[in-house]
Amino acid sequence: MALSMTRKQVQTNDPAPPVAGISDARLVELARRGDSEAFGDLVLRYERRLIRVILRFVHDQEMARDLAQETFLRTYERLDQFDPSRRFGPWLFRIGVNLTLDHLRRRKRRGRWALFSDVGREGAPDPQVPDPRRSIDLGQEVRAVLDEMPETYRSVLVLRDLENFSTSEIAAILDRKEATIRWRLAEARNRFEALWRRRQNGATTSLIAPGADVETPTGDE
Amino acid sequence: MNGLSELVKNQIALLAGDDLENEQTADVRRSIESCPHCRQHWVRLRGCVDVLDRVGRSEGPVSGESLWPAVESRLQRTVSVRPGKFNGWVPALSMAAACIALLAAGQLDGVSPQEMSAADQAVLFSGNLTHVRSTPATPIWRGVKGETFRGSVFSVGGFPYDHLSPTDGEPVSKQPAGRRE
Repeated sequence: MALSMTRKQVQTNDPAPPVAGISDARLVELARRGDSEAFGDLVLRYERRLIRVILRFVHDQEMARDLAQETFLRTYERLDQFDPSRRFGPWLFRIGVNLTLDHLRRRKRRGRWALFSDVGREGAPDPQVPDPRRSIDLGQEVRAVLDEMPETYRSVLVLRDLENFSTSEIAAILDRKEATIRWRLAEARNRFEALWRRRQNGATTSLIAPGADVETPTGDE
Repeated sequence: MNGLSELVKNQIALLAGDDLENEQTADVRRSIESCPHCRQHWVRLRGCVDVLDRVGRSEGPVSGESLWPAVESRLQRTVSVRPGKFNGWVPALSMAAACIALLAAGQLDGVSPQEMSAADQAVLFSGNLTHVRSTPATPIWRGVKGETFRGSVFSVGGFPYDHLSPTDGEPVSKQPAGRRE
């Protein structure tokens, strides 16, 4: 049996560049000199990917767009701090991910207050009503499991396994060493697997059986 | 999982996503082939990575209008507002400087800088004497025991200067030169 290693290639900058041929570094340089059109090209180049990454964390299209917009504004304000010897993409995503995580932390704090004020409003589940978990799709199942994970591991897992950033890019985005990211990634996958298994065992119907079609590695790739 | 060390579990987890260093890959593969626990863990992790991969690909491209028009308009607003923020400090600082200058002038009323030695200034600002009131010609000062003096410059270390005159709490009509009593 051949080892099933069919992960898709990393596509960090997958959106088609609107101004093909001009590098990010050149556009940043022009933007620093006050060329707003150059910065506009950078926005067009990265906006869809950025919104998608933020959407992985906030699950709200409008909020993701607002946060992406805020990210570009902050990026513009900090253009002088950008090191041109580094890549623009991870730097932009670092600002975006930090902004998003800050937003989630604030929402979580507010949520604690809301929890106290909303106690008892929803009531106990009605046994006559079918388990809503039956109807939710795979994406929602995954999201539910990810939401149970600590932010440190969730961030790495989302960026690597959902968004396909490389570990070196994640290290740049989260401002950590690559070795740290690898360790967190391994831990995150182990935690996800445990939570996923528990969730699947607890559910009345299993939407997916992990490992059903997985081949065993033989090293004969 | 029972029987597996954290190190092996982590290595299998990295291999499941093709993130393990090349030199470690062969060893971990051998473990998976030979160890049932390793194999079970591998199968479960590969399943999870596949699920995540599927979900990652299933969510289509982001739709909607470009953010650039909104970003551009906010950038223009920010740039036009910025200079005003800084200029607000200028009148405040000017006012503060003017107040300090007025206070300093009030403290030194009646005493010209040329008349006052460094030792005199030390006494003036040490708190031993309190400025009671001033007239253009003869400022009146009160000592720590309540005694008052009229004159321009005061005693240093208990020794009076001759152009100070005691008033015993009462304003003096004339200003004799002499020792403090």
